[in-house]
Amino acid sequence: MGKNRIFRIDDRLIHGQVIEGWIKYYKIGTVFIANDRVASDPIQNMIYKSIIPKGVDLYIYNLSEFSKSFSKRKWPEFLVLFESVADLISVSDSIDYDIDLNVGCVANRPHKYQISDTVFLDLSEIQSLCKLREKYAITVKKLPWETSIEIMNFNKLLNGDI
Amino acid sequence: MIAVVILTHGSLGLEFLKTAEMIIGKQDSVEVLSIHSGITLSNLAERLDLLVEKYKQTGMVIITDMFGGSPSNIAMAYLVNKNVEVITGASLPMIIKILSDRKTFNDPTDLCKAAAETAKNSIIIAGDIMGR
Repeated sequence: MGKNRIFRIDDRLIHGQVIEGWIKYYKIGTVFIANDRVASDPIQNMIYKSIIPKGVDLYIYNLSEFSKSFSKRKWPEFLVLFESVADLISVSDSIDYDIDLNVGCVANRPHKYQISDTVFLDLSEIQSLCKLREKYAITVKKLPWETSIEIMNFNKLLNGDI
Repeated sequence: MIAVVILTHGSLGLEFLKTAEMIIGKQDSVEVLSIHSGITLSNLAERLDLLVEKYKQTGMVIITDMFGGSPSNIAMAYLVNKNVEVITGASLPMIIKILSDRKTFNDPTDLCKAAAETAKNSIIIAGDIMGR
């Protein structure tokens, strides 16, 4: 189950890894960008619409539009891109057991811990993801064929409980 | 003279410039920017803002490695500046053409059109020439 029903956190949204990796590997025909900034910026809209591969549909919504419209339709396969952990958490009502959650690229900033070569998270982001991880599978990897980093005990580790 | 920014993944841009300079000599008004795993794209945008301002009189061509990649996506946002053009799919023939001919062009878009033509024509399947 799942596998081609994916919610991905990637602060670069659509880029080489997504086009050459995720869309091709899982034969994704429908991509969503759920992002307030992109949804309200005509230039960013134009850029992402111009780079989406032929035959792939792209829908750009702000987060609240996404929550509303996504739950109304049953999409058979999709890739939804979020810019940040907070953005994903804000639509967590849309997540179900058939959706794979992936953390792909989150850039480094002060107070962040390096989780993988492309993922840097602060403590609250790690805690949010670990909470989601109790109910849903989460992979941490930039490309579909990589081995995921297991985040199950990261929060305990950071709290000194392990 | 039109300025050039080479914006790529990793150290590709720097190597392109070093190799081009080995062939056509040292170049002025060329900037190299790169994107590595884990860096924030906002820092890069700040640097590009400064370069657009610095070269607003002469115009600027941003050369990126791959259409659809993040360097290219970032560069495309600068197309709102009339004096900026973006060309993707960097190759050595393309870069050499831009660096060599930029003195003879006033408009970055015209320069990119000429460079695109050169770059496309430089892709040769050697077996075709041999008539195999």
